[in-house]
Amino acid sequence: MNGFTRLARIALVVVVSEMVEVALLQHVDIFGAHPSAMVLIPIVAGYIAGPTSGAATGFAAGLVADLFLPTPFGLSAVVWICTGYSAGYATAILRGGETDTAGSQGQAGALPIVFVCALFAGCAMTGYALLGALFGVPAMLTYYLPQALPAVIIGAFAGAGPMMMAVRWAFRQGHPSRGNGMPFAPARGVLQG
Amino acid sequence: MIQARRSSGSKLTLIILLLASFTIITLDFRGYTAGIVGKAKAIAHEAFMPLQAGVTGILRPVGSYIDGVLQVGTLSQENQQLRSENAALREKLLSTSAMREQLRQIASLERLPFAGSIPKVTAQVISGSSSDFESTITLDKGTSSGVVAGMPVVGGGGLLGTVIDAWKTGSTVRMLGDPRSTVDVRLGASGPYAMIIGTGSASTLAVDYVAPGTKLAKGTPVYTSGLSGAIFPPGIPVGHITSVSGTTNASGDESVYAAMDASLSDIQYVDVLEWVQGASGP
Repeated sequence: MNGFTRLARIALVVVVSEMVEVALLQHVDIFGAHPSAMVLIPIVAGYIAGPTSGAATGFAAGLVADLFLPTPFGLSAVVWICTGYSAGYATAILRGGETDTAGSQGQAGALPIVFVCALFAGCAMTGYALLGALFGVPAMLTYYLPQALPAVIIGAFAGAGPMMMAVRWAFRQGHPSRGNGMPFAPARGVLQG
Repeated sequence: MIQARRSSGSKLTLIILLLASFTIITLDFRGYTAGIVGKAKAIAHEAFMPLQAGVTGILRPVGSYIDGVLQVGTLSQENQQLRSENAALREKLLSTSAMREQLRQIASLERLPFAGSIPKVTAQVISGSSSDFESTITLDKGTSSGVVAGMPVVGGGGLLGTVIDAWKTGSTVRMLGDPRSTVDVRLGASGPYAMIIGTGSASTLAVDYVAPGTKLAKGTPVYTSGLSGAIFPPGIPVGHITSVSGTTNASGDESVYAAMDASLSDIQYVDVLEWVQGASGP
C-alpha cells in the first residue's frame, strides 16, 4: 500500500465521520448537547501514529468540519492540530517511548484509548471555547462549554472503539519491509504489525 | 541524536500547520477567501443535504413516537387543557375581529410595514447545529427558492433568527438565542427602543440599552423596531419581558431579560421572510 492509498483512506474516514456527525449525531441529545465524532480523529491518530500524524490529521479534519460551521474557517483546525499533537505526545511520554514513534500498534493497548479520547476531547472542547471567547463570544465558555463537555466526553467513551478501528485501518501498514509509508509521520518503526 | 531530530521535525510540522491555520483564519476574517470558502461550503452542504434530510425523515417519527409513549399522561392532560383554551379563544376571536380591523387601519395609516404581507418561503427544518457552540438550524430551502443571507426567519409564533448562509438547496439560520444574534427592538407598542442579545440559552434573551429607571412590567411584549438600517422589518413579535431587576448592569443600563415568543420545541416548518436589510416594507 502506498502513501496515496493511505491518504485516501484517511480522507474517507474524515468524510464518513463528518457524515455521521452531521446526519446522525445531531439527533443524539445528551444534556442539551451532541457528541462529536470528528474530534476523535486527531486524538486517535495521535495515539496510534504519534504527534505529527495527530497534528496533520487534526488540520485536515478541522478544515472539513469548518465547512459546516459558521465560525471562522480554520478555527477547528487550530484546536484539533493542538489536540492531535498533544494526544500523541502525551501518549508517547506516558509509554516512555520516542515522542514521534511511540504510538505503534504493538503498544496500543498500553493506555486505554477510551480514557485518552475522553480526556483530550474534553480538552479540545475547552480549547475551542477559549478561542471562541477570545474571538468575542464569551458565551462559548460560560454557557455552551458546560453543556457540551458531558456530551462530548460520553460520546468519546462510546466512540473511541469504532474510531480506533477506522483510524487503525486508515493508517494500516501494508508490508513492514516497504517502510512505514505514512503520509504524515516519516518516522521508522511506526505501525508495524 | 536521531530522536532529537525527529522531535524537532515534529515541532516544526506543528508550527507550520498552526501558521497555516492562523493564515487561513486571518484571510477568512478579512474576506479574502470568501469566494473559495463559500463555494467549498456550498458544495459540502449540497453533498450532505440529501443524507441529512433522509436521516431526519427517518429519525423524526421515531423520536416523536418515543416522546409520545414517554409523555402519554402529560399529553392527555395537555389535550384537555387545549380544548378548554380553544373554546375560550373562539369566544375571544369574535371580539378580536373588530380590533383587528382597527389595527389594520392604523397600520396602513401609519404606513407600518406588516410582517404578514411580506412574501414568505416556507421551509422545513432539516437539522440543528452540527456544533455544540452555536444555536443554528438548517433549512431545506436555499438560493434556488429565493432565500439569501440576511433574511429574517419566523415560526412558532414569533421571530426565530436570521439566515446567515445560503446555498442552492438549503440555508443556515442563526437563532435569536445565539450570543452572536442582535435585534433592534421596541419594548411595547410605543415603549423605548432597545436591543435584544442572545445569551446562548434558547429561552433567555438579554435586553440591552434600557435606560436606568425605565418603567417596564413583566410580560411587556417586545417587537422588532424596524429602525432605519435595521436587519428585521418592524412589528414582528420577538418575545416578552420576563425580568426587570431594577439594578444596572456593567454598562450602566437597566438589567432586563426577555423570553422568546416562538416555541422552539420540535419546530419543523418555518417561514423565511423575503426581506433584506435596508429594504422598505411593502
